Formats: sequence, structure tokens, C-alpha cells
Amino acid sequence: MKLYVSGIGIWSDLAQDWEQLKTALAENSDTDPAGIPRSELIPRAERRRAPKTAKLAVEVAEQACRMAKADMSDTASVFTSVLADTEISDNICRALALPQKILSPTKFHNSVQNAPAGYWAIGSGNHSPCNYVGGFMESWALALIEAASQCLIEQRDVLLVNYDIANKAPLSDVCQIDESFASALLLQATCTHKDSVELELELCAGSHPQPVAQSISARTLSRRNPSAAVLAQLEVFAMKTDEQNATELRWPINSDAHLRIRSRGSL
Amino acid sequence: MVDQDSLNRIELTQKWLSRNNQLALLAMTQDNFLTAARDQVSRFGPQRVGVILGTSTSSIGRTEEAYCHLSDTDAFTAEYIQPEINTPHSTGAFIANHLGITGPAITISTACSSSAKAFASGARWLEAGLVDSVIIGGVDTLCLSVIYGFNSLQLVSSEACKPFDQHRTGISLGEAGGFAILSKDSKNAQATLLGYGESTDAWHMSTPHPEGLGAKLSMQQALDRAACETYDIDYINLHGTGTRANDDIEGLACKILFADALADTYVSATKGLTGHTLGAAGITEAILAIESINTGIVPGTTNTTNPETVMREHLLLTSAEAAIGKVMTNSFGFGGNNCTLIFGDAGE
Repeated sequence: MKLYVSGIGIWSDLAQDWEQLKTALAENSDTDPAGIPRSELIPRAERRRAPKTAKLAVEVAEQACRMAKADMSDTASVFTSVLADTEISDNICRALALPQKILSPTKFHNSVQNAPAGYWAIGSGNHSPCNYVGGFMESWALALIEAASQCLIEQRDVLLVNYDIANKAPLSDVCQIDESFASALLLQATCTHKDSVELELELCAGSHPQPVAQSISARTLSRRNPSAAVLAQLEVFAMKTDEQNATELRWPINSDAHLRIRSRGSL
Repeated sequence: MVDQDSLNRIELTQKWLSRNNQLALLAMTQDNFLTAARDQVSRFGPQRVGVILGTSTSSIGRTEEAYCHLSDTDAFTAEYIQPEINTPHSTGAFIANHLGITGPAITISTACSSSAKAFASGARWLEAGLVDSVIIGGVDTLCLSVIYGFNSLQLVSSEACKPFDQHRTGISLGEAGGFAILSKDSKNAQATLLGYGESTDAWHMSTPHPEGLGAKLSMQQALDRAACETYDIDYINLHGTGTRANDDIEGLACKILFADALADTYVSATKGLTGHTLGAAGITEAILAIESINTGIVPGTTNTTNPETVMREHLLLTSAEAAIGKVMTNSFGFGGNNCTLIFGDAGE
């Protein structure tokens, strides 16, 4: 599958947009708590009820669309995460462990995995297909496969958004997440933007470890949030490389197969 | 609810144990599906088969249980240390693991449209040549968050649900697991997926767009992809949950889109038979719709006696015999997430 990345969004303790991230990766900057973005794209009445995951997802999705000058109201989207909204899961599971079992209706409708997708659609006035794809530790690569096939088969722009928020016990025992992270790619089937990265994706047999970023700051972040592993790929997109030579990273999709990503160009 | 004794007979290792995964395997053992799925794996090779599983709850029911048995230090106790279970991907990963599939395996979780969307994604994976065959599934089991959650929204009926009835009072929750094999091979096929539509309301998290905008978009897209007109559709299996809001807007959307063609189309909602099986509703109703093509029996709208105005003249109340060629089935979920599928007979 051959397609293009023409917009990137990022929210993390390392950087809160693509330009900041490029500098931070080059300079190995230290992290500084960024908190949760305000995400003013979500209408005020909805924003009051929006969970952290939705605010993160909407912020990075908006950034990626703006960078690519893509029509925010006309992009399909695929959202993914490793553990989804652990704050809501924890809150609901604790409420249900009590004898009175009182559940807030807002928390309940926010507990659907496609809640960030729903808030994004409301904020951007977007009636296009949106999806939530779970793939545990391989979520990003699997969601990229889903997003890329939709982008190519339907010949439309597709946003790929990944996010995970900080968690606490007991869910931190499943996978400890110390700080929030979100990123977005705007994928296009044809190269309409002069600044874009060409991607060639291929499913390959054989186990492969997850790629590791070269930058120390990115590696630190990846240890603090599994979704930040994507920084290894974003780092490649930031490198000024020879246009003729592709850079190759291999992302596991399970213990026996992986996704080979060859990329050309930089953003 | 699914019979507990049947579920108890499904023994899983601790790693994968959850009610949802038990129902997934129970469903796969029906109608020789497990054998058929394994045949796909041996025919195409484990890497050329994909898994797309739709579920809204995945194994959160097991996590809820784990929270009732936390240690003094807020940790899961030994029995509940199951990292693969505490993620939305639990059921999709379980199916891939159980079948030894090494192609891409994902879990789609878009509330009540989840397993309908699995068909749309599967069609794209095949078209893109990523895999030769996709195991499509939908599984949802009852858990406390679903029961108390829908009750907190006052959407649960105290009696069996009556979709599109003037006196309807909400949904009846149900459990289901269903599977299908989607491939480009028409040999032994039971139906053809002619088209799909996916849309978003962009309106509200738990109430549908008042004019059924997203519903119309997803039905129209499915018609366009199937290259057919409204009058080509012989039967519409409605989402028809039995809530005031859904049935009002779905009826309205069908009336506007199908116009006069609606008078000559069989239309029914089957949740009175199955309950609302949430993430599994898409595949459950896809199977019922396909069955109407293959058996010539169109299911009626069980429990409904007095249809509301828009659907009064159109809703099929009791099952009918008819030659059915093309069927449409709707699935609409929280977050305004809509999906419509159109199936035709295997020869198309």
C-alpha cells in the first residue's frame, strides 16, 4: 500500500505541535508537564463533559488537518489506543464495586471507545466515517493498516489518531502509563501537498521487536506511555533524508508478523 | 441472556477467561463455524487471514469483577491478573489466538455499530489485497456497566421491547455472538456483501440527529456502493431499538430516503426477538437479513402491535414468506456512529 502523510499532530510533555517536536527531538529536550489541551474546537457545552481522551484526540486531529490544509469536516478517521480511557474505566468499575452501584449517565456514554471520535465529529462538523480500533500493544500499527486501506480503497483523506492517558492502580499493572500522549497523522491517497512523506506499507512474516527512537527524549517518553512508541516513526518523518532512499521501520502486529513501513521525504 | 450452563462448558485458560470470550468461542462452535474458519487458515495460510471483531464491552465485565476483589494495595488479585483481558482488544486478540491466525487482527469498538463496521473494514482489507479471507465477528455480553449505564440513561424498558410501537418504552438488553467468513471466493457463499455505508451524526453523544442526517447518509452510501436504487431493496432490517428517539428518526430517515418505494418494501425490526445485543447487533441482524434471502422468510417485528405513525403502513408485524433478493440492515450507535450494510444472494 502506497500513500502519503501530509499532516502531523502531537500533544505530549515533550512537545505540543509538530514544529516543537522536531526541535525537541533534535535537541533532546527535557519534558515539561503539558497537561490536557483545552480543545476549543469542541463546543463549550460538550467540552464540559468531554473526557481527557477526547480533548487529546481532538487537539491532535485538528493540528494534523491544519498542517495538511485538509478539510476538517470531510476526513474519515480511525482512533486507537493501548488501554483506551482508563480514567473512565477505573471510575465506572469502582462505582460498580460499591453496593449502591450508581453510574453517571455522562460517564456511561463517554465510556464507549468511540467517544473521542464522537466529540471530534461534533467539533469539526464531520459526518464522515469514524472508527475506533483496538490492538493492545500493537494498536498503532494495526490502526495504520485499517486507516491506510480505507484511504486507498475509498480514495479519501483519513486521520489516524492514537492516544493514551496516565493511569493508576490497578490498571497501571496492566501497562503503566505515567503521562498522557496523543499523535495524529493525516493520510492521503494521492500527493496533493508539496510537503508530504510517501509511505509504502507491507505486511511481512516473522516476529520483530518494536522500533526504538534514536532521540533520548523520545525513548524516555515511550517508556512512560506505550502510545509514544510512535515517536520512532515521527522521528523518521522529521529527518531530512535523501529523497531517493527510503527509511525503513518494522512494526510488530503480533508475535509472528510485522508491518514494514518504508518512507521517503520529510515534513 | 445466554444460557449459563452452555457458557460454563466453554473452558478457557486464565489468560483469556472472560464471559465475552466464552460467548465468542461458544458462538464459533455453532453451525461448524470453527471448522470452516480453520479451513480458511489452512487454505490461505495463517498470515493471509485477518480477524475483525466488533464489540462494545469487550471484556470489561471481567475487569468489573476484578475491581470487586482488589487487594489492600489496590492491585488485582491473582485470579484477575489478565493483562490481555483489560483492554478493548481482548476479544479480537482471543479469536486470532484461538484460530492461530497471524494476519492483522483488530477489535472495532464503536458502540452498537461495531460488528456492522467489521464488514466494511473486511471488504476494504480484501480489496486492498491485505488478506484473502477475514473472520468477521460480533460479540457482546451483559455486564454491570451496560445494565446500570443504560438504566442511568433511562433507556431500558421494563417489558420486552416493542420497536416502532406507539407505546414503546425502551430497549431490552441482550447478548449475542455471531461470526461470518468474508472472502472473494463465491464458492459455498451464503450471500454477497453488495455495499456498505458509514457515517457520523456529529450531533450528540447519546441521542441521534433529530432529522436522521447520519442515518440517511449511511443508507445512501450503502445504496451507492451497491449500485442500486431504493426500489431494488426487498427487505430493510431496521436498527429499531425500541427507544423513542431511535425509532422516530430511523422511521423518518427511511420515509424520506425510500419515499414511495417504501410501500413495496418489507420493513421490520428484530430486536423484539433478540434484544439489543449492542456491539453484536450488526452481525446478528446481518445474519437474519441473509437468512431472509436464503429461506424466503422475512422476520416480523415481534412484540409490536400498534406501529407509530411514520411506519404504520410499512412495518411487517408478523413473519412473511417472500422472495428476497437484496436486503439492507442498519446499525446506529452512541457517538452518532452509523453503519448500513446491503447483502444480495450468493450469485451476485
